[in-house]
Amino acid sequence: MNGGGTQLRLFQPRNLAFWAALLLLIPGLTVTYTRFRDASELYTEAFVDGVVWFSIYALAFVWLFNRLDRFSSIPARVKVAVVFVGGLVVTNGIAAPNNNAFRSILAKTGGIEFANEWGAGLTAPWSEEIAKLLPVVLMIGLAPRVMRSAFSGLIVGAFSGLAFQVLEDVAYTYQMTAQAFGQTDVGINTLILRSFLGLTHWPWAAVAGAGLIYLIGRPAEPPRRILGGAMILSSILLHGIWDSTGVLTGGASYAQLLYLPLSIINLAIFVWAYRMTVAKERGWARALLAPEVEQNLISAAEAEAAVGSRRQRRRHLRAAGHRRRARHVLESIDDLVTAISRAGGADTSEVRQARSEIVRLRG
Amino acid sequence: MTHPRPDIVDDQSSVPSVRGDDVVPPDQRIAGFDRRTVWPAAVLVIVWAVWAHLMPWIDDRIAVDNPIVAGDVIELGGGTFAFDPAVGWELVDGVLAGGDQRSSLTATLVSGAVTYKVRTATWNGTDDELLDHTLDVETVDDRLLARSERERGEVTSTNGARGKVAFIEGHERTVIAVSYVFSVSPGEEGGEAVGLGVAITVSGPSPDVEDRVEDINSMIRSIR
Repeated sequence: MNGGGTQLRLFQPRNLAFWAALLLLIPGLTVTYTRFRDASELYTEAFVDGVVWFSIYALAFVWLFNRLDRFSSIPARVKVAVVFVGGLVVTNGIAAPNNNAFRSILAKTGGIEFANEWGAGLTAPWSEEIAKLLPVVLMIGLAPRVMRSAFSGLIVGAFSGLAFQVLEDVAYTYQMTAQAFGQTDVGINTLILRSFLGLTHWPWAAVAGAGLIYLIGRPAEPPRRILGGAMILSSILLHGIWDSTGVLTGGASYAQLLYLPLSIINLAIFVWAYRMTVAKERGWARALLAPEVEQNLISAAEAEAAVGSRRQRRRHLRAAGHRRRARHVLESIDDLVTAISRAGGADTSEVRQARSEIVRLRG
Repeated sequence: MTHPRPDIVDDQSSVPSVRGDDVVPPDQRIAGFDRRTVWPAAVLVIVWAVWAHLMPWIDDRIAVDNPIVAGDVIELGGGTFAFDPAVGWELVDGVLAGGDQRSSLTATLVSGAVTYKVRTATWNGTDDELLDHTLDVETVDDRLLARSERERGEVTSTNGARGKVAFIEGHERTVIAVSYVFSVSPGEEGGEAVGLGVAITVSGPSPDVEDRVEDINSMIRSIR
């Protein structure tokens, strides 16, 4: 698959992106550690509740992203590294100081009233959307073979955005507790509210991540600069609208209701970007499976279903005589694709094992 | 079965190898580093430098120019509380009475190196408990070494509300913390009275705080 045969090596002394990452890592982790140490000391309950709840909450999205990345194009180690950098370094070490400084500059130059109304909408969208792209850029430097297509940008961006979102939600939980003189119930209300507003940072970052790959182009993804730029701008724009609902509606009481249609729009654009970027993944999977079809290991219909959309798979399973067995066969074909791409096209024991599984499951 | 090596796994002449022992092709070396990794590294460092350093540096260089003039009143919680800020202090955060701004639960004023912060929220404990919490936050936030509470006393506002005040001497700065707790009677619908706390923190280098003690005292006592 697009990251086929590749793995992320953490120690790459000849790679400048490795040294740049180290440079960012140390101050970023220090800031995050200091904030978390103080928060856990002062607002222990709210902090622990936030960390535990949003970690569980994030797992649901991790499960979703892994399902979307059906052929495991992005190695687990890349995903872990992206979550680590996106959460522990980017959120507090890069985005937060810029947000605070720029909002303060707005207040000093445009007045407190202007900054209160427009500060968030004029700061966070560009500051955070660009910052959330840094893990995508880092992975292009550290694992270029993994970052070969817009689909990789989409998945890596989604993980980066999710990590950012979780760290921000934890921060909101204890900050609201802090504003209420340490009363935990106020923080818990924030935690519940933020849980309902979960379709924000990750879809924006995923769409921007795919957009970045289109913008710059990769060996397997010719540049589509207008499309890429538009995708990044769409995330910045939607983030801006999200952060400005109050002022855009003149402080109307229905302003908060707008989060529902805006969440749907965020999700719809993500789904559109997923469908567009996954097409290349499917084409590659189809090419990998062609010899297997020729050798009659799998049928053409099975190959099409395996690389097809969820709907195509469902249709294939409905038509199958033994649905449970057919589903297992499709899943073992997914594994075969992963194995072949990981082996770089070679006939390894993992590939042979994956093939024998298909035969075994067919019964 | 032999697989063709479709473009899925080959065609990587233009990207660095991530396998093997980190060998960089000779034509891609620059001082021993992989030339192709220059731009991702540059993007990371530039964004980090601008976001985490340049922007805060610019912010530090822009002075606040929002001075309090005679007659200004600061409102907290949409008019639930108000106080008279000292003339000449700069308003950094907060809402002046009479404007059409959204309400705010906080206000911050600065004068030189001294910061005067006020915050309000519901509070059902005592004023001593609120003062303890405020001092805990100051101690942890700024790592005041060996929190040495010099004295704790009572403060009475100009309209008779009683609160608590404490002084802390840190190594480099002095903190004055004040707490008031008000009981707000329920509206016509009935219900229990709600406690509302007001916490004030004044912080700055000791001589600067001493120079402004009259301003600070009058602001603390003007809460209503």
